[in-house]
Amino acid sequence: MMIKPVLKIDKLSKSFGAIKANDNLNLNLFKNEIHALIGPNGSGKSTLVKQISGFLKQDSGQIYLEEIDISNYSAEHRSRMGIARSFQISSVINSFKVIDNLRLSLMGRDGGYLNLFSNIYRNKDYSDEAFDLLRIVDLTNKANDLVSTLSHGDKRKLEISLALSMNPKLLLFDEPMAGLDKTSSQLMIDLFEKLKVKAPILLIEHDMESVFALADRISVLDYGSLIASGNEKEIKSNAKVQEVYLGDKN
Amino acid sequence: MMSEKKLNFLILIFLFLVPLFSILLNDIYITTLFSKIVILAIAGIGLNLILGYGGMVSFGHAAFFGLGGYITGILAFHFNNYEPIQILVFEFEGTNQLLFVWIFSLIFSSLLALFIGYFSLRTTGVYFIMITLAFAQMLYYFSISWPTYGGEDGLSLSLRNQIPFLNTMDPITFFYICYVWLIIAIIFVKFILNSPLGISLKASKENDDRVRSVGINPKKVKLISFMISGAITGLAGSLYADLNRFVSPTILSWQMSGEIMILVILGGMFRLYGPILGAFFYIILEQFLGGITENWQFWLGLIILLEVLYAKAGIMSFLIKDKYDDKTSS
Repeated sequence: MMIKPVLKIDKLSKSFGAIKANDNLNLNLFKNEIHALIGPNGSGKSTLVKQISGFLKQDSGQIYLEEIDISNYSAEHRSRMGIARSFQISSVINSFKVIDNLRLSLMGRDGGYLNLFSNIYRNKDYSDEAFDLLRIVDLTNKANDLVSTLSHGDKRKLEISLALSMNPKLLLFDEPMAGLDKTSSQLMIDLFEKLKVKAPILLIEHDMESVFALADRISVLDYGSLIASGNEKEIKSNAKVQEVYLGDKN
Repeated sequence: MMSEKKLNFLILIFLFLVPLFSILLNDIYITTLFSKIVILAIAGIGLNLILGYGGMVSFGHAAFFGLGGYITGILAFHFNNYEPIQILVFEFEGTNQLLFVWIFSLIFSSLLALFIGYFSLRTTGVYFIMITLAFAQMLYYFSISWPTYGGEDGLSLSLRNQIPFLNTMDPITFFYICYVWLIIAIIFVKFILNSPLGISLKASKENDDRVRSVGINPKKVKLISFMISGAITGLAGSLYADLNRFVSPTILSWQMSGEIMILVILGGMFRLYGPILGAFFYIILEQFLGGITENWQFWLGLIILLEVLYAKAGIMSFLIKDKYDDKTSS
């Protein structure tokens, strides 16, 4: 029996004027998998993540989540369906406390955000769940800190916990290790290994050491087109990948 | 210097007591002045919900203030003239009952806010300011060219609208009616700020993408908040018309929008009680500086300029210990 992908991207294209950011892309993501997306800057990786998460409308092609065509769904609808993402540049609510960022996302996940009369700060279920999530990323001691006072690494961790709060069916991480020191990167690697059992991960990353340590499968983009896909060995031995991307990274 | 809670409490006690003492001293003028302060504070609380907490710079809140005022005036006008209001083939009686007047003002102001917000919220920044201003100016010019209700001269109410068992013509009674509405507005907005809608509004002020990525539609959040803001401001306009027993196109003008915005900025944009303090100082400055010079607005402008440069959190920030500028979290 054929295994059905959690995420299926079918002939996806996106252009900005004359520049083809994504050109007829096909990609699958299966359960328990970390699928890394690599390629030079401007190869269309982030554009793809934006289209999957609904922040950018594709010109043509389809996106399926668990066989449901979500191509025309809004970003917020996709989020509630379980597509959780982190951003290339940390995107959290800086003027909120750490725990309030999580209260916001838990409430968003459950809907009812137009409710006027319940006090979200007194919702014990959300507080308990928020602490559970902060425990996963080791941020419980900073729960009541203002996000604007957090270090870059802690903001990254908070973003991961926000993604997890959405009961994700799919995790999209856009350069989660960027700007992290060696120890923090290793913590992320260990964390992602555990998370992939909960939901498959599509990972964009420039740190090849982390990619090779984590990824079950790697796809390489160049000028918006998929030029190779396979495991670490296949990618490393691919002449075209060596030429356009890995040549100076190995 | 004191805690914000203590200052808030003192503001409410002060507003409650001063008119009472002034009436005991037979000074109706002070009571009327404080009624105006309270009414403008209500309008400011309405605007502050979207301006301070939602980051939406509406320069057209006079539209809601004025609509509330005109609804009050028009209903009273038809009641006094025994002429029904005709809309297409429908006919409605006028009324002088405040409860109905308030309900109509709240409903129509929120519907107008829904309409204006639906179009305005497609834009941001300067365009949002310009569109809200344009809508308000449309209503302003419409009211000028509407002779049935006085056109440029406005509409006079022979008596204040009524409420059972109370004499609304009595200045202190009318003041406390306004004061009760102020308390209701504070409690209502406080509820909103702690609610899912409130936290979503505060978050979308800072980061729409984050809000969308957790399943929240920021446009819906802003539109509902805009409606609530418009309704509160409309109610304030209704009280203002009854206070003055007069309504004219002036309360629909951009100067009125500016006045409401100025008192919010003056008091402190990110705090619930900021507009109350702002309304108080605005009216006091108007009275005090107005007594000294005709160009009092120049000096008020200078004060606002200094405040925007050196104390963005408004007068509140001088009086309380907590200097945290953007109090958007729990």
